Amino acid sequence: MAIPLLICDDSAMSRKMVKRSLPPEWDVEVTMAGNGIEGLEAIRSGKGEVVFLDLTMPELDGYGVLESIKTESLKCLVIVISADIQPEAQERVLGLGALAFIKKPINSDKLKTTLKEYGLLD
Amino acid sequence: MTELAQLSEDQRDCLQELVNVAMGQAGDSLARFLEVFVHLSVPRIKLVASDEVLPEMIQLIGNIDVSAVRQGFYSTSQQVRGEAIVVFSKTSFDELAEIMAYEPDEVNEQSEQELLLDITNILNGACLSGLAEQLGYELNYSPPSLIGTELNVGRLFDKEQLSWSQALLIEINYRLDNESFKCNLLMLMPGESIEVIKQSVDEFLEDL
Amino acid sequence: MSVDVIEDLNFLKFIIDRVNIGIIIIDKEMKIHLWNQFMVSHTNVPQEELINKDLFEAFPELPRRWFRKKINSVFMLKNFAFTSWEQRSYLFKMPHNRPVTGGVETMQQDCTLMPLKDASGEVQYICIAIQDATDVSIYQNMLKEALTKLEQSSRIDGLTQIFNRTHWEHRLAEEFDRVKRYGGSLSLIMFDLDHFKKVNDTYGHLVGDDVLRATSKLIKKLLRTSDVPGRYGGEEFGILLPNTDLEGALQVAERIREECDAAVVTCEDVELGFSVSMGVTQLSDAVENHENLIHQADTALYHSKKSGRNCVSAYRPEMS
Repeated sequence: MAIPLLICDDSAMSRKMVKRSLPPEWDVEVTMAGNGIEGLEAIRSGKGEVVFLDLTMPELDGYGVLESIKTESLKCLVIVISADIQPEAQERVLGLGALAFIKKPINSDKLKTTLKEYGLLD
Repeated sequence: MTELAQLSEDQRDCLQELVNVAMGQAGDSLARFLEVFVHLSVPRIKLVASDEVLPEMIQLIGNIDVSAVRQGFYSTSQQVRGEAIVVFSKTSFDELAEIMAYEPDEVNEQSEQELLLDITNILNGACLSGLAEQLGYELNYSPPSLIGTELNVGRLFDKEQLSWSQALLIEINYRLDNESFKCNLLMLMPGESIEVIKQSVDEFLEDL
Repeated sequence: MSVDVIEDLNFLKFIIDRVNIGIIIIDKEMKIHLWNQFMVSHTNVPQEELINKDLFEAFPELPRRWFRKKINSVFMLKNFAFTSWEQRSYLFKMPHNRPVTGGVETMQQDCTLMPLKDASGEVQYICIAIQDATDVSIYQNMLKEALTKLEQSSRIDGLTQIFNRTHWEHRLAEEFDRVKRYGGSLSLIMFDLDHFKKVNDTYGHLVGDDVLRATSKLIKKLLRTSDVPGRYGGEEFGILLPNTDLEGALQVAERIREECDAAVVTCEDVELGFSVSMGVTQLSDAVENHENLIHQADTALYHSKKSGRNCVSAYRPEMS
């Protein structure tokens, strides 16, 4: 059965880049969200068991999304994909419950390794 | 008057994302160098006419007194040139002086100006080079120079001096966790540079 | 650039040594690897003594902490860095090429720090290029002097040839602070031409201007050199009188009033008399700032106007 995957990023190009980097063998059903509020809606309605989350976004940023996931106890696995590569940014998101941190521009090999590492891909 | 250039939504989005990545890399360099967390914001990309620049800046920064530094840059291979203007709306010179390893007795008007120039140079170097690299350019920089201190945003430059009709404006702002300064970085690339960048962006998008 | 030209190292060596710029290369340990002829002849230290030496040991007068941080920024961020003579006159103490007409002792310097990337993009060395900016600095200083002169002339009101409001108020504020800090007395006269609007309306602005000129000429004649007259507004004047008490100020004011009343201005075919109303006050402890002092004198001036004009009033608290 396909895994519901949410790609949450304000940039259409970035969403496209992430989608193109997905391993072809990975069975997912992709939903796109353009900001944090849309993203949360999608997660609440079960469209994001796995979430690829950008940090700097208008409306609600990635940190805010992570906090809401925590307070609402939403069930999902979040992988942050961000251009903000400061070590402290990474620590912060991991502290807020993100599973992993991948830096932009996204690299498909790195994505695959990370997915395998967390058992999301065989 | 020549017809004004336009940015398609794809081009704007792509540039914004490229700036985002560059800004992230720059933020990381800065954070390591200054040993402080740097807050990043969503960059703004826009084509502006020369008479829109100052109103735009007032809207972004506020109608307040600031210090500002300019620095020219140009691509070594492509016809891209522009100026980056860093507008400091808040500066705590004592903290900055410590970060930049001045002796306490060295802090005076001259060294405060030097600090502004140095911070500008570091911000520009880190961010612009990151953007240029993704587009396949290499940039050279002129030394930064002071536009002024305690100057109203609306008086940062003289409208009459702007000889171009349209420019690409990229705005990002940096705020440090320790609040030692807050600034807006505005890159302005006028005239021909717009077309060259649009073309580079299109090529980048095609390669996706 | 053709390959033959840049691959001939002799050419490059010649350029490095003969170009009119100081060129230094140092590594991460601050060891000197290149010290060109410009640097040799200006620091008077031969190359042999410097190669492989620590930069800061060889030149202990360099601002060590700051300069190291700057150098580190170039290694770390792989970015150019600059210093300008305008903020920091020089890095290396060296004589300049205008020993006769220079006017400054040390060569003013603009410096560029460049990261030298190797094939893998790593930076093991940086180059410091030093440009003599003494000429520019001399011209800039001349320009500054000219601007100062210009600024001086911008303090004068064109019509009356006495200080304009901005500068006069500035002088008043200075004098105010001085008396507050060190004691002494300070009095202020504010005065205004009576029915000036009517003069303008009846005879035209040219005549009005002549009356203003006549007034300023007259007060300049009557004042001591230490007194500072200024044109405060359209037809309003202010005079600050350092080291003068209220009584002294009232005497000065009364003389000015009398002379104005007696004066006749001739402009074209018009012969015209005029009068002034005056307010006088002396700085007391209760006055908090110079604006208050102006306000007091203005209040007394207003009192003169209400008392029929062409007279002098001293400020009393019950007036306001």
